[in-house]
Amino acid sequence: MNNHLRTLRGERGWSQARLAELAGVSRQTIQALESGKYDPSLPLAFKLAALFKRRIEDIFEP
Amino acid sequence: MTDDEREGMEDESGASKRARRTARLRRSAEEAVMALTFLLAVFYADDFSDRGRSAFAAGFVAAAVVALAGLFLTYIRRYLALDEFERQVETKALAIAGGGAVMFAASWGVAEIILSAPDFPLYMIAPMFSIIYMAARHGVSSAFR
Repeated sequence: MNNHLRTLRGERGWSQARLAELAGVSRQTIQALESGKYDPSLPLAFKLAALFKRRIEDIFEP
Repeated sequence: MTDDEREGMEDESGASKRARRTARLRRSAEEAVMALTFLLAVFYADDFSDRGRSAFAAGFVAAAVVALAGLFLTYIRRYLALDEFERQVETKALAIAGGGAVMFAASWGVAEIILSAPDFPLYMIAPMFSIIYMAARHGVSSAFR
């Protein structure tokens, strides 16, 4: 699944560690999400969407 | 190291890195002590049993069981603290290690019956599982990088 996490994170000037802290996951999880090798659970997708104030479908693409 | 990994590593603060490294070292030390206790307890239990001192042997068998239970509980505690991605990696590694250990033990059992291969000590299943698990965990986590 493609996503715009890296771009959105960059726009806010957040590091992977910072985003991980805000989302309550490890930095490795953010790294795996950004590389598109891991698809988040629905709760984590909602949490990320809330953090970026976007809809889930604006962040993740099938 | 990929660009992604380098970027991730660079933006992590020194304090955060140190905390993670300390936690990892503490966890490894705990596990190493319990694994060593297990092996030593098995060794001494066997030694005392050979010398006919069954009370001491039973004590060391109990120590081995406690060490194994400690290892198991440490792992459960660690697993429960993981996030969803880390749990996925762990679960895959556990499945591979469990399957590998069972397959090896079953294959050896067949060789014992058919080819009269030497007995495989059952207590070695735990260390063997750990070795396969470490290799599997490394392989699975590498696949996500």
